[in-house]
This record gives sequence, structure tokens and C-alpha cells, in this order.
Amino acid sequence: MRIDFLRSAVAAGLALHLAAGMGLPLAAGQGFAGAAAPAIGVVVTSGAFRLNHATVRSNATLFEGAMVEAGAAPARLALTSGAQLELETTSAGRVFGRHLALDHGAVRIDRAAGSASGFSAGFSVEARGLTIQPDASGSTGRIWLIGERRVEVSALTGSFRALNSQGMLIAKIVAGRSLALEPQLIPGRYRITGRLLRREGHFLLTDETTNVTVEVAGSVLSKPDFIRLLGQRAEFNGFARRGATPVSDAAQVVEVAQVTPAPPQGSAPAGPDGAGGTAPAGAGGSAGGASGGAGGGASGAAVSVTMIAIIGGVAAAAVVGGLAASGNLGGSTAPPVSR
Amino acid sequence: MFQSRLFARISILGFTLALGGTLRLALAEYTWRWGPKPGAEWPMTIGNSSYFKDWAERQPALALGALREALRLNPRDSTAWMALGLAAERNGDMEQAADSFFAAEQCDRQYLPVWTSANFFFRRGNDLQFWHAATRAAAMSYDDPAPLIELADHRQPGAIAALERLGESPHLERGYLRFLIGRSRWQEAAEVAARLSLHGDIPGNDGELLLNFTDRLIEANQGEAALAAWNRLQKFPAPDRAIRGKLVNRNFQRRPSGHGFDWRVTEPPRGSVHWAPSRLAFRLAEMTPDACILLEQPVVLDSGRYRLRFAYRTEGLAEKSGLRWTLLHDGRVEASSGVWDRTATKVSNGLVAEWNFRAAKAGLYELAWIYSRVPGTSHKEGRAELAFASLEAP
Repeated sequence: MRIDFLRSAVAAGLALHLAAGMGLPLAAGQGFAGAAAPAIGVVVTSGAFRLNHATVRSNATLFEGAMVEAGAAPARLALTSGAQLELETTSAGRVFGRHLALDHGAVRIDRAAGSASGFSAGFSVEARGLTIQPDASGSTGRIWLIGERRVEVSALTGSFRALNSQGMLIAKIVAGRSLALEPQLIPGRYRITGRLLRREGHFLLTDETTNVTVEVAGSVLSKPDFIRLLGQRAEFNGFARRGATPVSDAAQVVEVAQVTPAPPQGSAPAGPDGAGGTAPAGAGGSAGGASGGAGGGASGAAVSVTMIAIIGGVAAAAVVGGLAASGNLGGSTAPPVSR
Repeated sequence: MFQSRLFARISILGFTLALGGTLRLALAEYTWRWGPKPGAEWPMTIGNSSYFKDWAERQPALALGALREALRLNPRDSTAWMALGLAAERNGDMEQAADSFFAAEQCDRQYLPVWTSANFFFRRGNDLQFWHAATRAAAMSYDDPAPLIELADHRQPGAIAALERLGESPHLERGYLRFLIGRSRWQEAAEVAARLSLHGDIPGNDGELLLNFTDRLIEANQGEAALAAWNRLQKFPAPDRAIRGKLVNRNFQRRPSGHGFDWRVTEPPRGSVHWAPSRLAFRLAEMTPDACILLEQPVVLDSGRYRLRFAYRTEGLAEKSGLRWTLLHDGRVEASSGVWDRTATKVSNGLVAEWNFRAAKAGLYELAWIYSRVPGTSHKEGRAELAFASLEAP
């Protein structure tokens, strides 16, 4: 056991050394001087791993598009861009200079880039059609594939942005938070909850689960009751309005089909149909209204989901407790949370 | 009395020393588990270099010092030398890095240190040292050499040139062949396969690899290379040697292998197929689909006219049997015969027929015997047999 630990430690050390060794000298114009091929980094592990389906021990040089499969020990990836990743045990992904396509398992981002000044195009992780981007070079976090469809993102330091397959911002995950994301069958669908604000004649809403601000539009806004929702907490159902340019600070214009007042945060739990979407931990089975509900409904294993949002066709649930259940976050056929 | 007191004092002293040693180990273990505070001096040097390697991982800023301490405790720890080399590479001290990797190789004359050196010199663009290390690594490689080959391939254009620099061996040749097949680099793969067919274990695993390579060449429409690869596999005398414009195993004397330029037999859905020397029989059922391929063989043709002669026999099938020959090129039908009925020339044990066709251009073709139900007829259970099929340019 201790020997394994020590081996891991040595492997991690090698990776860290190389990370700095490749990141910092590159900034100073050194790095892989004169290399004939564009090596993009180094992978180091304490045991064996697979590189392009060949078994390798200890360490290897990485090239663009290399498939890395960690074995019984995690594989540490130190890239010339300065990014440092740890592919967890039995995880696999294809590595490129600026991104990792996570195939299965989990990856930890220990450093997104060599330096803050060099973070113009930071490292990202692609997983199940989603793109997870650290917001800063110092952002650290973990991206984990769960079950067949779910991606969980945990931000340890800094923050991360999640984009859907169309490049639309669907979540901002700040330090200390975890979000479970699950692409839905209907792209562009929205079900978001937050306080409605008006700015320069536009209605804005920041979703409480995903931290994403959207501009709301549509015929619903012209109804006399709508103005009474200003400053109130409400749930909006709708679809992305294609081609529309939102006001600054908003990520997307949402054509609202249905608006429902939501109870203040921390109030009584949702009704039978999950009204309000503020189901307490473990109540996901009814809150989500979908098969399995809000992640907790299916297995309920060490998960506490406080809210489900659907944004840009991706269901998102804030996860407290670190481990997500393997249930369904809510299919596209899910009835609305509120009426 | 004196002796017993002396014995008691020695025992107490021994116990105290043992207790002290145990506490020291416990403290070292605790320090190792929780790590020293940044900038702290090493609290313990109790002879376990692993502690310091672990510290190097936990405190990257202290890595150089920790690794040096690990090496002071165990100068023959090759993993510590490798880690030190990588730490030096981080700091831009390439001379120190190279020295450390060299020291690692001196401590451990196995694959891993020399593989690590090869990677280092590759990254540094040091051709001379890279090839020096890579050649030694290649000589020690007993596992899959693909990662080493990938490095060499990036450094040296041309597989044969890279192989010659790495040091030729069947192990490397088969590794390189797999590497090139994986990248669809057919021409270079054919060159490496030619070498492997000379040095490799053709009756054994290498024969299978080369046969699979031939199939891949055929799939990739690399007719000439496939022909050469196939013929290299044929023993002398080589009845299955493939020649342009000729069919292999035309009398069905040998069981069709389904590989290379031999016949590929497909059992008809819900039917069956049976081979005996000089006889290949298909049983078609009433439930057999309207169209299916029964038999095919790749063949390299020049542009021009060809005549296919074949002997066949049917039993129980409709008058218009639905059996016909088809020539395919790149997956498209180039020519197709009429449906063979029972009006062909009768011989003692069946019918002999001919089909004349034209190949529009030189290249790799597939000659296929297919069943395609003739409109207006119904499926009937029956048999179709082939005794030979030969191709010639008239």
C-alpha cells in the first residue's frame, strides 16, 4: 500500500516538474527546442498506462491527439501550454494541445495554463458534447463522467464555464460548487429560475442554479401580470431565440412560453409537481418531475440537489456533497416544474 | 548480584534506545504523511529516500532539494535520478538533466531509464543523443515497441530509415508494421512487411500479421501492394500464388481461407455452405433473401477483356436460378452477367458456362458470385454447386 503511494508520489512529482519545466521555459522562449515533431507535453504515472493503445510504463512524450488511458494509478499530464491535468485511475481521454476530449472516467485540472498572462486561450475539457473551460489560469477543478449522459463539474478554485455543443454558455461554476449537467433531447430548451430585473428596457434573469444571465423576451412579457414579477423570484420556461443578440451581460435571448411565480428561496418545499423547483435534498424524485427526478431520486447516494435548471438544452443540477447519483436529471419529456 | 544489575541496566538502555528509535520512526512517518511546512528544513533523515521523493511531489518548490536528499540516502535510486533530471529540465538546467538521466541509466540498466532519456533528448531536439538512447531502448524492448517507434517516426522521415537507425529486428519490424497500418501508411507498411517476411516467423504469428495486412491492403484498394504481400506468404511451390488477371484456388482444391486473394465464402442467410475438394455447394432456402453474395475473390486486372469459365450445377432452384457473376470495383458494379439457367453446355457432372466482360481500367476488382431472385419467380429451396472458376484474357 505504502509502496503504491510512494510510486504515485514520485509519478506526480515527475509530472509537476515537467509541467513547470515545459510551461515556464516556453514562456521564456525555450521549451522543446528543435524538436522535429510538435510534442505537446508529457504524461507520467507511477505504474503503467496506455498511450495510443500501447502499454507504457512511467512516462512518455505526448503528441497532438494522443489517446491516454490511465491504469491502476492516475496519469499526470503536463502540457507545453502549462496546463496540468490528472487523469484519474481507469479514465481515458484524447489529449490535444488546448483541450482534452474526456472519453470516460474523470479528470482533474490542476492548472489550466502556465501563467495568467498567457491565458488568452486556456485549456478546456470536452465531455459528452459539452465544453468545460476554466475562467482563469489558476482555476482547478474536476470533471467526471457519470452513467451514460451526465457530466459533473466541480470547481475547487477559480471558476469554470460550461458550454453546450453550440458553444452557448450554459453554466458558470464557481469555487466550492459542483454542478451535474446532462444534455437533453430537445436542444435550446430553457427552464430557469431567478429574480426578474429590468435594465434599459430589457428583462434579465440570472438562473440560480447555473449562474447564467439571460435576456427574456416573448409575448408573455406584454401580459399585464408580467410586470408584477419584477424583482420577484419566478420560473421561466422557453426556448433559445436563434440569431438574437442579447444585451450585454446576458448570454442568450430566451423566448419565454411560460412564467410561474416561484416561492422565495428557502421556503417550503415544492408541491406534488415540484412547483418552485426548490426541492430540498433528497426530494429530487418529485421536484424534477422527470424519470428519477433531480439526480437524487434514482439512487440518492450521497447527493443533495437543490435545484434543476434546463439551459440551452442541458439539464443542470447543483450538487452538494460531492458525489452525484446516477439517476436521470430529467428528460426532455419532463413536464414543467410549475404551471 | 552485580551481574544481574548490569544486565538490568543494559536491558533498560536497550529498551530506551529501541523506544527512541520507534518514536523517531513514528515522527518520520507522521512528518512524511503530513509533509513539512514550506521552507522548513528536513526534519528527518532516517534513511528512506522514498520519503523525500514523496516530499518532492508534495512541495514542487522543494523538489530539487528533496530529490538530492533522496539521492544522498540512496545514490542508486534510478527513479530519484529520473525525477531529478525532470526537475532540472523544469529549471532549464539541461546539463544537470542530462547528467541525471545518465546517472539513472548507470543505476538501472533496464528499459525505463533509457526510455526516459530518449524522451528527454527527443524533447530537446538532440538528434545524436536521442538516437543513441532510442537504439539502446529498442534493443531492450520486449513489450509493445509502438511508443518508441512513434518517437523515432517523428524524428526520422521514412519507416525503413527509422528502422535502420533503431536497429533492425523482427520485433521492431512487426511493431513498425502495426504502427504504419494504424496510420494507413500503406507504401511504407509494404516496405516493412517485405522485410518482416524475410526475418519473421512466417509459419507463426508474423504470417497471421502479414495475412491481415494483405486484407487491409485489399480493403484500402492497394491492389499491387496486396498482390506482393500475398505472394510473399505463399510457400514454394505456391499453388495459391496470385497473378494479375488470374483467379486463385480456381478448382476449389483447398478450403477457401477467406483471406487475401483466396475465395471469401458467405453462408447464405437461412441456408448453408459445404466445401469438399473441387466442390463448393450452397444450399439456398425458401427464406433466403432476394439478393445475397455467395462467393467473392479480389483480383487485380489490367484494362481489357476477360473471359470467366466456370462449371456449376443446380438442383431444385427455379429455371432461372438467379445466380450470376458480378464484377465490382471500389464497391460499385462494373459488369454483371446474365442469370445462368440450365441451357449452358452440359458436361458429365454439370454445366460449363462462360462470361465475357471488360475491365474499364487497371486496378483491384472483386469478382462475386451472387444470388439475386429473378422478378416473377419465387424462392425455391435448392442447391448450387461450383466445381471450378477460372479467368483468362482471350
